[in-house]
Amino acid sequence: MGLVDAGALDEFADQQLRIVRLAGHEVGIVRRGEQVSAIRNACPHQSGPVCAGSLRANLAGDGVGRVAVRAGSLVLACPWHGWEFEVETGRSTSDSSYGVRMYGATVREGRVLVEIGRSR
Amino acid sequence: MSASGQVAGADSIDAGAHLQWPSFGEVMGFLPAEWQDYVGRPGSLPGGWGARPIHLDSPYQAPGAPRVVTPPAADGAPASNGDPAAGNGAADVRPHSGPKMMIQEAGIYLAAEPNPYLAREIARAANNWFLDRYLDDQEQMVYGAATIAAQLPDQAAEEIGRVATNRRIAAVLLGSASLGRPFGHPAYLPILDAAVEHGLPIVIHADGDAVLESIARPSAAGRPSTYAELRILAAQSLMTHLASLIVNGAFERHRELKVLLHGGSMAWLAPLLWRLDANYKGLRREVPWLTRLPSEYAREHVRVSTYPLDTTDEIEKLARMIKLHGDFREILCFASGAGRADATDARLVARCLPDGWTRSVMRDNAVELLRI
Repeated sequence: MGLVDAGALDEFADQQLRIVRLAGHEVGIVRRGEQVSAIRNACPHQSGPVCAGSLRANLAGDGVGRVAVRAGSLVLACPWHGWEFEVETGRSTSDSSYGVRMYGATVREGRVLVEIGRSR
Repeated sequence: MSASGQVAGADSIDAGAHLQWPSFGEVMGFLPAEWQDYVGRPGSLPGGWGARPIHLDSPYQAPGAPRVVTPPAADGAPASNGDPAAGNGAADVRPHSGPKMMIQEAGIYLAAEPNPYLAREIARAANNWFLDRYLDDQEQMVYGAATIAAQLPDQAAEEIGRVATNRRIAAVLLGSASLGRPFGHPAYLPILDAAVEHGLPIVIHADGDAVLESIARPSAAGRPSTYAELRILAAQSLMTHLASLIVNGAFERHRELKVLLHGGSMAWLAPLLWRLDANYKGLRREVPWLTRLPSEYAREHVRVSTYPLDTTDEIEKLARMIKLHGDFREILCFASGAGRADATDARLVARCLPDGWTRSVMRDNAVELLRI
Protein backbone atom coordinates (compact mmCIF):
# COMPACT_ATOMS: atom_id res chain seq x y z
CA MET A 1 0.00 0.00 0.00
CA GLY A 2 2.85 2.35 0.77
CA LEU A 3 3.29 5.27 3.05
CA VAL A 4 0.26 6.55 4.90
CA ASP A 5 0.19 9.94 6.59
CA ALA A 6 -0.59 9.46 10.29
CA GLY A 7 -0.59 13.14 11.16
CA ALA A 8 1.74 15.95 12.19
CA LEU A 9 4.55 15.03 14.53
CA ASP A 10 3.38 17.78 16.86
CA GLU A 11 0.11 15.90 17.30
CA PHE A 12 1.93 13.07 19.06
CA ALA A 13 3.13 13.78 22.60
CA ASP A 14 6.71 12.84 23.33
CA GLN A 15 7.27 9.54 25.20
CA GLN A 16 3.65 8.57 24.75
CA LEU A 17 1.62 6.23 22.58
CA ARG A 18 -1.49 7.10 20.58
CA ILE A 19 -3.57 4.64 18.64
CA VAL A 20 -4.56 5.71 15.14
CA ARG A 21 -6.47 3.94 12.44
CA LEU A 22 -4.62 3.82 9.15
CA ALA A 23 -6.04 2.11 6.09
CA GLY A 24 -8.17 -0.17 8.23
CA HIS A 25 -5.32 -1.08 10.63
CA GLU A 26 -5.07 -0.11 14.28
CA VAL A 27 -1.57 1.22 14.82
CA GLY A 28 0.06 2.52 17.97
CA ILE A 29 2.39 5.45 17.29
CA VAL A 30 5.11 6.03 19.89
CA ARG A 31 7.04 9.27 19.67
CA ARG A 32 10.54 9.41 21.11
CA GLY A 33 11.87 12.85 20.39
CA GLU A 34 12.14 13.22 16.65
CA GLN A 35 11.74 9.49 16.06
CA VAL A 36 8.60 7.39 15.91
CA SER A 37 7.69 3.72 16.11
CA ALA A 38 4.56 2.19 14.69
CA ILE A 39 3.23 -0.93 16.38
CA ARG A 40 0.45 -3.22 15.24
CA ASN A 41 -2.24 -3.36 17.89
CA ALA A 42 -2.15 -7.14 18.41
CA CYS A 43 -0.11 -8.99 21.02
CA PRO A 44 1.65 -12.10 19.69
CA HIS A 45 0.73 -13.94 22.90
CA GLN A 46 -3.05 -14.08 22.66
CA SER A 47 -3.86 -11.22 20.27
CA GLY A 48 -4.66 -8.76 23.03
CA PRO A 49 -4.81 -4.99 22.35
CA VAL A 50 -1.15 -4.43 23.16
CA CYS A 51 -1.27 -0.74 22.23
CA ALA A 52 -3.83 -0.17 24.96
CA GLY A 53 -1.12 -1.08 27.42
CA SER A 54 1.38 1.15 29.15
CA LEU A 55 4.75 2.53 28.15
CA ARG A 56 7.42 1.87 30.73
CA ALA A 57 11.14 2.16 31.25
CA ASN A 58 13.01 -0.87 29.92
CA LEU A 59 14.31 -2.62 33.03
CA ALA A 60 17.26 -4.96 32.94
CA GLY A 61 18.90 -7.04 35.63
CA ASP A 62 22.11 -5.59 36.98
CA GLY A 63 23.10 -8.70 38.87
CA VAL A 64 20.81 -10.87 40.92
CA GLY A 65 18.50 -8.73 43.01
CA ARG A 66 19.46 -5.50 41.26
CA VAL A 67 17.79 -3.61 38.43
CA ALA A 68 18.89 -0.96 35.99
CA VAL A 69 17.11 1.12 33.40
CA ARG A 70 18.25 0.78 29.83
CA ALA A 71 18.78 4.41 28.89
CA GLY A 72 16.82 5.65 25.92
CA SER A 73 14.67 2.54 25.65
CA LEU A 74 10.99 2.08 26.30
CA VAL A 75 8.84 -1.01 26.51
CA LEU A 76 5.15 -1.44 25.81
CA ALA A 77 3.37 -3.74 28.25
CA CYS A 78 0.32 -5.57 27.01
CA PRO A 79 -2.65 -4.94 29.32
CA TRP A 80 -3.80 -8.56 29.23
CA HIS A 81 -0.83 -10.54 30.56
CA GLY A 82 1.97 -8.04 30.97
CA TRP A 83 4.18 -9.18 28.11
CA GLU A 84 6.65 -6.40 27.37
CA PHE A 85 8.01 -5.41 23.96
CA GLU A 86 10.81 -3.02 23.16
CA VAL A 87 9.32 -0.09 21.34
CA GLU A 88 12.41 0.31 19.19
CA THR A 89 12.54 -3.26 17.88
CA GLY A 90 9.26 -4.92 18.80
CA ARG A 91 11.11 -7.78 20.50
CA SER A 92 9.75 -9.38 23.65
CA THR A 93 11.94 -8.76 26.68
CA SER A 94 11.28 -12.25 28.08
CA ASP A 95 11.55 -14.36 24.94
CA SER A 96 13.37 -12.96 21.93
CA SER A 97 11.64 -15.45 19.63
CA TYR A 98 8.47 -13.43 20.12
CA GLY A 99 7.86 -9.96 18.89
CA VAL A 100 5.08 -7.52 18.21
CA ARG A 101 4.54 -6.58 14.57
CA MET A 102 6.09 -3.25 13.65
CA TYR A 103 5.41 -1.01 10.68
CA GLY A 104 8.07 1.08 9.08
CA ALA A 105 7.66 4.66 10.30
CA THR A 106 9.49 7.84 9.53
CA VAL A 107 9.14 11.59 9.97
CA ARG A 108 9.31 13.69 6.84
CA GLU A 109 8.75 17.42 6.73
CA GLY A 110 7.03 17.32 10.10
CA ARG A 111 4.65 14.52 9.15
CA VAL A 112 4.55 10.98 10.55
CA LEU A 113 4.50 8.48 7.70
CA VAL A 114 3.73 4.82 8.26
CA GLU A 115 4.37 2.05 5.76
CA ILE A 116 1.11 0.13 5.80
CA GLY A 117 0.85 -3.17 3.96
CA ARG A 118 4.25 -4.50 4.92
CA SER A 119 4.71 -5.17 8.63
CA ARG A 120 7.85 -6.75 10.05
CA MET B 1 8.40 -50.07 30.84
CA SER B 2 12.02 -50.97 31.00
CA ALA B 3 12.55 -54.14 29.07
CA SER B 4 15.07 -55.47 31.51
CA GLY B 5 13.37 -54.53 34.74
CA GLN B 6 16.47 -55.82 36.38
CA VAL B 7 18.87 -53.76 38.29
CA ALA B 8 22.31 -54.90 39.15
CA GLY B 9 22.42 -53.60 42.69
CA ALA B 10 26.11 -52.94 42.74
CA ASP B 11 25.80 -50.84 39.60
CA SER B 12 23.07 -48.54 40.80
CA ILE B 13 23.46 -45.65 43.19
CA ASP B 14 20.97 -44.86 45.92
CA ALA B 15 20.86 -41.07 46.03
CA GLY B 16 18.99 -40.94 49.32
CA ALA B 17 18.61 -43.40 52.17
CA HIS B 18 17.82 -42.38 55.74
CA LEU B 19 20.06 -42.84 58.72
CA GLN B 20 18.86 -42.90 62.30
CA TRP B 21 21.14 -42.37 65.24
CA PRO B 22 21.39 -45.67 67.12
CA SER B 23 21.35 -43.70 70.35
CA PHE B 24 21.59 -40.12 71.48
CA GLY B 25 24.50 -40.99 73.70
CA GLU B 26 26.57 -42.17 70.80
CA VAL B 27 26.24 -38.86 68.96
CA MET B 28 26.44 -36.78 72.12
CA GLY B 29 29.87 -38.25 72.62
CA PHE B 30 31.00 -36.21 69.65
CA LEU B 31 29.96 -32.92 71.23
CA PRO B 32 32.74 -30.94 72.88
CA ALA B 33 32.86 -31.58 76.61
CA GLU B 34 31.43 -28.19 77.49
CA TRP B 35 28.47 -28.78 75.21
CA GLN B 36 27.88 -32.19 76.70
CA ASP B 37 27.62 -30.43 80.03
CA TYR B 38 25.34 -27.87 78.40
CA VAL B 39 23.05 -30.62 77.14
CA GLY B 40 23.22 -32.54 80.39
CA ARG B 41 24.24 -36.04 81.25
CA PRO B 42 21.80 -38.84 80.41
CA GLY B 43 20.63 -40.64 83.51
CA SER B 44 21.74 -37.92 85.87
CA LEU B 45 18.14 -37.49 86.90
CA PRO B 46 15.64 -40.11 88.06
CA GLY B 47 13.94 -42.11 85.34
CA GLY B 48 16.85 -41.88 83.04
CA TRP B 49 16.40 -38.21 82.25
CA GLY B 50 18.96 -35.48 82.62
CA ALA B 51 19.85 -34.65 79.07
CA ARG B 52 18.16 -32.12 76.84
CA PRO B 53 16.93 -33.75 73.63
CA ILE B 54 19.25 -33.09 70.74
CA HIS B 55 17.13 -34.72 68.07
CA LEU B 56 13.92 -33.05 66.97
CA ASP B 57 11.40 -35.51 65.68
CA SER B 58 8.31 -35.30 63.54
CA PRO B 59 4.99 -35.76 65.32
CA TYR B 60 3.71 -37.53 62.23
CA GLN B 61 4.25 -41.25 62.43
CA ALA B 62 3.33 -44.10 60.12
CA PRO B 63 0.69 -46.16 61.92
CA GLY B 64 1.95 -49.34 63.50
CA ALA B 65 5.59 -48.38 63.46
CA PRO B 66 6.17 -45.29 65.56
CA ARG B 67 9.58 -43.88 66.29
CA VAL B 68 9.39 -43.53 70.02
CA VAL B 69 11.84 -41.03 71.39
CA THR B 70 12.76 -42.23 74.83
CA PRO B 71 15.23 -40.72 77.20
CA PRO B 72 18.65 -42.16 76.61
CA ALA B 73 19.97 -44.50 79.19
CA ALA B 74 22.94 -43.44 81.23
CA ASP B 75 25.18 -45.82 79.33
CA GLY B 76 24.00 -44.54 75.99
CA ALA B 77 21.96 -47.62 75.21
CA PRO B 78 19.81 -47.37 72.11
CA ALA B 79 16.91 -44.98 72.50
CA SER B 80 14.68 -46.57 69.94
CA ASN B 81 16.29 -48.57 67.19
CA GLY B 82 19.59 -50.35 67.31
CA ASP B 83 19.97 -50.33 63.55
CA PRO B 84 20.67 -46.92 62.07
CA ALA B 85 19.03 -47.97 58.86
CA ALA B 86 15.80 -48.96 60.61
CA GLY B 87 13.47 -46.10 61.03
CA ASN B 88 9.85 -45.27 60.89
CA GLY B 89 8.49 -48.66 60.02
CA ALA B 90 10.98 -49.35 57.30
CA ALA B 91 9.25 -51.05 54.44
CA ASP B 92 10.32 -54.43 53.16
CA VAL B 93 12.95 -52.95 50.94
CA ARG B 94 15.88 -54.96 49.82
CA PRO B 95 19.08 -53.45 51.20
CA HIS B 96 20.88 -51.60 48.50
CA SER B 97 24.17 -53.23 47.62
CA GLY B 98 25.61 -50.37 45.63
CA PRO B 99 26.87 -46.97 46.74
CA LYS B 100 24.41 -44.96 48.74
CA MET B 101 24.13 -41.46 50.09
CA MET B 102 22.85 -41.36 53.64
CA ILE B 103 20.71 -38.54 54.99
CA GLN B 104 20.64 -38.24 58.76
CA GLU B 105 17.08 -37.99 60.02
CA ALA B 106 18.22 -35.60 62.71
CA GLY B 107 19.77 -33.41 60.04
CA ILE B 108 16.49 -32.99 58.19
CA TYR B 109 14.94 -31.22 61.18
CA LEU B 110 17.97 -29.65 62.83
CA ALA B 111 17.37 -26.20 61.36
CA ALA B 112 14.13 -26.03 63.33
CA GLU B 113 16.00 -26.32 66.64
CA PRO B 114 15.14 -23.08 68.42
CA ASN B 115 18.59 -22.86 70.01
CA PRO B 116 20.82 -21.99 67.06
CA TYR B 117 24.04 -22.28 69.05
CA LEU B 118 23.24 -25.81 70.15
CA ALA B 119 22.10 -26.63 66.61
CA ARG B 120 25.48 -25.58 65.30
CA GLU B 121 27.22 -27.93 67.72
CA ILE B 122 24.82 -30.79 66.99
CA ALA B 123 25.52 -30.43 63.27
CA ARG B 124 29.22 -30.66 63.88
CA ALA B 125 28.80 -33.64 66.16
CA ALA B 126 26.48 -35.40 63.73
CA ASN B 127 28.93 -35.00 60.87
CA ASN B 128 31.83 -36.18 63.03
CA TRP B 129 29.79 -39.16 64.20
CA PHE B 130 28.96 -40.12 60.63
CA LEU B 131 32.50 -39.81 59.37
CA ASP B 132 33.81 -41.77 62.34
CA ARG B 133 31.18 -44.48 61.95
CA TYR B 134 32.05 -45.15 58.35
CA LEU B 135 35.76 -44.57 58.69
CA ASP B 136 36.44 -48.22 57.97
CA ASP B 137 34.19 -48.45 54.94
CA GLN B 138 36.93 -49.50 52.60
CA GLU B 139 34.54 -50.39 49.82
CA GLN B 140 33.44 -46.77 49.54
CA MET B 141 29.80 -47.66 49.56
CA VAL B 142 28.50 -45.13 52.06
CA TYR B 143 28.45 -41.40 51.54
CA GLY B 144 26.72 -38.68 53.48
CA ALA B 145 24.89 -35.41 53.06
CA ALA B 146 26.48 -32.91 55.42
CA THR B 147 24.22 -31.85 58.27
CA ILE B 148 24.21 -28.10 58.87
CA ALA B 149 22.47 -25.64 61.16
CA ALA B 150 20.88 -23.57 58.40
CA GLN B 151 19.43 -21.10 60.90
CA LEU B 152 22.93 -19.64 61.08
CA PRO B 153 23.88 -19.44 57.41
CA ASP B 154 27.36 -18.03 57.93
CA GLN B 155 28.28 -20.67 60.47
CA ALA B 156 26.64 -23.35 58.39
CA ALA B 157 28.93 -22.28 55.58
CA GLU B 158 31.90 -22.77 57.88
CA GLU B 159 30.74 -26.28 58.68
CA ILE B 160 30.40 -27.05 54.98
CA GLY B 161 33.96 -25.91 54.47
CA ARG B 162 35.13 -28.04 57.39
CA VAL B 163 33.60 -31.33 56.25
CA ALA B 164 33.88 -30.81 52.51
CA THR B 165 37.50 -31.92 52.59
CA ASN B 166 36.32 -35.45 53.42
CA ARG B 167 35.47 -37.25 50.22
CA ARG B 168 32.78 -39.22 52.02
CA ILE B 169 30.65 -36.08 52.06
CA ALA B 170 28.68 -36.07 48.82
CA ALA B 171 26.24 -33.22 49.31
CA VAL B 172 24.86 -30.62 51.72
CA LEU B 173 21.51 -31.27 53.38
CA LEU B 174 18.75 -28.69 53.76
CA GLY B 175 15.48 -29.64 55.43
CA SER B 176 13.60 -27.23 57.65
CA ALA B 177 13.12 -23.74 56.23
CA SER B 178 14.75 -22.39 59.31
CA LEU B 179 14.36 -18.72 58.60
CA GLY B 180 10.72 -18.95 57.62
CA ARG B 181 11.69 -18.32 54.01
CA PRO B 182 12.25 -20.74 51.14
CA PHE B 183 15.80 -21.53 50.17
CA GLY B 184 16.08 -19.07 47.30
CA HIS B 185 15.89 -16.20 49.76
CA PRO B 186 19.19 -14.28 49.85
CA ALA B 187 19.55 -14.97 53.58
CA TYR B 188 20.68 -18.49 52.65
CA LEU B 189 23.31 -17.30 50.18
CA PRO B 190 26.27 -18.15 52.42
CA ILE B 191 25.16 -21.78 52.33
CA LEU B 192 24.75 -21.85 48.57
CA ASP B 193 28.03 -20.03 48.09
CA ALA B 194 29.87 -22.51 50.31
CA ALA B 195 28.34 -25.53 48.61
CA VAL B 196 29.39 -24.25 45.21
CA GLU B 197 32.84 -23.31 46.43
CA HIS B 198 33.41 -26.86 47.59
CA GLY B 199 31.79 -28.57 44.64
CA LEU B 200 28.88 -30.00 46.59
CA PRO B 201 25.26 -30.18 45.48
CA ILE B 202 22.43 -29.20 47.81
CA VAL B 203 19.94 -31.88 48.78
CA ILE B 204 16.60 -30.47 49.85
CA HIS B 205 14.56 -32.98 51.84
CA ALA B 206 10.80 -32.60 51.91
CA ASP B 207 8.97 -32.63 55.24
CA GLY B 208 11.76 -30.84 57.07
CA ASP B 209 9.10 -28.54 58.47
CA ALA B 210 7.01 -31.37 59.89
CA VAL B 211 8.48 -30.82 63.34
CA LEU B 212 6.45 -28.59 65.60
CA GLU B 213 9.42 -26.32 66.26
CA SER B 214 9.65 -25.24 62.64
CA ILE B 215 8.82 -21.66 61.76
CA ALA B 216 7.57 -22.80 58.37
CA ARG B 217 4.66 -25.16 57.86
CA PRO B 218 5.06 -28.51 56.11
CA SER B 219 2.17 -27.77 53.79
CA ALA B 220 0.21 -24.83 52.48
CA ALA B 221 -3.02 -23.76 54.22
CA GLY B 222 -1.76 -24.91 57.59
CA ARG B 223 -0.46 -27.91 59.41
CA PRO B 224 -2.01 -31.24 58.40
CA SER B 225 -3.60 -33.43 61.03
CA THR B 226 -2.25 -36.82 60.01
CA TYR B 227 0.74 -38.59 58.57
CA ALA B 228 -1.49 -39.69 55.69
CA GLU B 229 -1.89 -36.06 54.69
CA LEU B 230 1.70 -35.08 55.30
CA ARG B 231 3.13 -37.83 53.19
CA ILE B 232 1.30 -36.74 50.07
CA LEU B 233 1.67 -33.03 50.74
CA ALA B 234 5.40 -33.11 51.34
CA ALA B 235 6.06 -32.22 47.71
CA GLN B 236 4.65 -28.75 48.33
CA SER B 237 7.77 -27.69 50.16
CA LEU B 238 9.90 -28.83 47.24
CA MET B 239 7.76 -26.82 44.83
CA THR B 240 8.21 -23.78 47.01
CA HIS B 241 11.96 -24.17 47.28
CA LEU B 242 12.37 -24.87 43.56
CA ALA B 243 10.39 -21.82 42.48
CA SER B 244 12.26 -19.73 45.04
CA LEU B 245 15.69 -20.85 43.90
CA ILE B 246 14.91 -20.26 40.25
CA VAL B 247 13.11 -16.94 40.53
CA ASN B 248 15.50 -15.46 43.06
CA GLY B 249 18.35 -16.12 40.68
CA ALA B 250 20.29 -18.77 42.59
CA PHE B 251 21.23 -20.47 39.31
CA GLU B 252 21.98 -17.17 37.65
CA ARG B 253 24.33 -16.33 40.48
CA HIS B 254 25.92 -19.78 40.52
CA ARG B 255 26.17 -21.53 37.18
CA GLU B 256 27.69 -24.54 38.98
CA LEU B 257 25.00 -24.97 41.62
CA LYS B 258 23.19 -28.29 41.57
CA VAL B 259 20.16 -29.17 43.65
CA LEU B 260 18.52 -32.53 44.36
CA LEU B 261 14.90 -32.44 45.46
CA HIS B 262 14.26 -35.43 47.66
CA GLY B 263 11.16 -36.85 49.26
CA GLY B 264 8.36 -35.50 47.09
CA SER B 265 8.73 -37.70 44.01
CA MET B 266 8.39 -36.13 40.57
CA ALA B 267 4.85 -36.11 39.12
CA TRP B 268 4.39 -32.44 40.02
CA LEU B 269 7.53 -31.18 38.30
CA ALA B 270 6.56 -30.78 34.65
CA PRO B 271 3.31 -28.80 35.15
CA LEU B 272 5.04 -26.52 37.62
CA LEU B 273 7.77 -25.71 35.12
CA TRP B 274 5.21 -25.19 32.36
CA ARG B 275 3.43 -22.63 34.52
CA LEU B 276 6.64 -20.96 35.60
CA ASP B 277 7.66 -20.51 31.97
CA ALA B 278 4.26 -19.18 30.89
CA ASN B 279 4.05 -16.81 33.81
CA TYR B 280 7.61 -15.60 33.44
CA LYS B 281 6.90 -14.13 30.03
CA GLY B 282 4.45 -11.72 31.57
CA LEU B 283 6.24 -11.27 34.89
CA ARG B 284 9.77 -10.79 33.72
CA ARG B 285 9.68 -7.18 34.82
CA GLU B 286 9.65 -8.33 38.44
CA VAL B 287 12.68 -10.57 37.99
CA PRO B 288 14.81 -8.96 35.28
CA TRP B 289 17.95 -10.71 36.54
CA LEU B 290 16.76 -13.96 34.96
CA THR B 291 18.21 -14.45 31.51
CA ARG B 292 16.62 -17.78 30.69
CA LEU B 293 13.29 -19.51 31.01
CA PRO B 294 12.73 -21.11 34.42
CA SER B 295 12.55 -24.57 32.89
CA GLU B 296 15.96 -24.08 31.34
CA TYR B 297 17.44 -23.42 34.75
CA ALA B 298 15.69 -26.49 36.13
CA ARG B 299 16.90 -28.71 33.33
CA GLU B 300 20.48 -27.73 33.93
CA HIS B 301 20.64 -27.34 37.69
CA VAL B 302 17.92 -29.42 39.30
CA ARG B 303 17.54 -33.13 39.82
CA VAL B 304 14.65 -34.96 41.45
CA SER B 305 14.84 -38.22 43.32
CA THR B 306 12.37 -41.00 42.66
CA TYR B 307 11.58 -41.27 46.38
CA PRO B 308 8.81 -41.83 47.20
CA LEU B 309 7.65 -43.35 43.94
CA ASP B 310 4.34 -42.07 42.56
CA THR B 311 2.96 -45.56 42.35
CA THR B 312 -0.45 -46.60 41.12
CA ASP B 313 -2.11 -49.98 40.85
CA GLU B 314 -1.41 -49.74 37.14
CA ILE B 315 2.31 -49.29 36.96
CA GLU B 316 2.06 -48.71 33.22
CA LYS B 317 0.46 -45.34 33.89
CA LEU B 318 3.48 -44.18 35.79
CA ALA B 319 5.78 -45.44 33.07
CA ARG B 320 3.79 -43.55 30.43
CA MET B 321 3.82 -40.39 32.49
CA ILE B 322 7.56 -40.57 32.97
CA LYS B 323 8.18 -41.15 29.30
CA LEU B 324 5.94 -38.20 28.41
CA HIS B 325 8.51 -35.90 29.94
CA GLY B 326 11.63 -36.66 27.99
CA ASP B 327 13.71 -34.41 30.20
CA PHE B 328 13.15 -36.79 33.09
CA ARG B 329 15.77 -39.08 31.70
CA GLU B 330 18.46 -36.66 32.81
CA ILE B 331 16.59 -35.26 35.79
CA LEU B 332 15.56 -38.33 37.77
CA CYS B 333 17.89 -39.95 40.27
CA PHE B 334 17.00 -43.21 41.91
CA ALA B 335 16.64 -42.97 45.67
CA SER B 336 15.20 -45.68 47.87
CA GLY B 337 14.29 -43.57 50.89
CA ALA B 338 15.33 -46.63 52.89
CA GLY B 339 14.65 -46.24 56.56
CA ARG B 340 11.19 -44.80 56.04
CA ALA B 341 7.79 -46.42 55.68
CA ASP B 342 7.42 -45.24 52.09
CA ALA B 343 10.80 -46.47 50.90
CA THR B 344 10.87 -47.93 47.40
CA ASP B 345 12.80 -50.91 46.18
CA ALA B 346 15.16 -50.35 43.26
CA ARG B 347 13.52 -53.14 41.30
CA LEU B 348 10.16 -51.35 41.29
CA VAL B 349 11.70 -48.07 40.22
CA ALA B 350 13.53 -49.74 37.36
CA ARG B 351 10.30 -51.37 36.15
CA CYS B 352 8.75 -47.94 35.70
CA LEU B 353 11.47 -46.59 33.48
CA PRO B 354 11.23 -46.46 29.68
CA ASP B 355 13.62 -48.59 27.73
CA GLY B 356 17.07 -47.14 27.64
CA TRP B 357 16.61 -45.01 30.76
CA THR B 358 17.77 -47.48 33.38
CA ARG B 359 21.43 -46.63 33.49
CA SER B 360 20.80 -42.88 33.50
CA VAL B 361 18.26 -42.88 36.30
CA MET B 362 19.69 -45.67 38.40
CA ARG B 363 23.29 -44.53 38.24
CA ASP B 364 24.70 -41.99 35.80
CA ASN B 365 22.63 -39.00 36.90
CA ALA B 366 23.71 -39.53 40.50
CA VAL B 367 27.34 -39.87 39.48
CA GLU B 368 27.14 -36.54 37.71
CA LEU B 369 25.26 -34.85 40.54
CA LEU B 370 26.80 -36.14 43.74
CA ARG B 371 30.38 -36.14 44.74
CA ILE B 372 30.51 -39.91 44.58
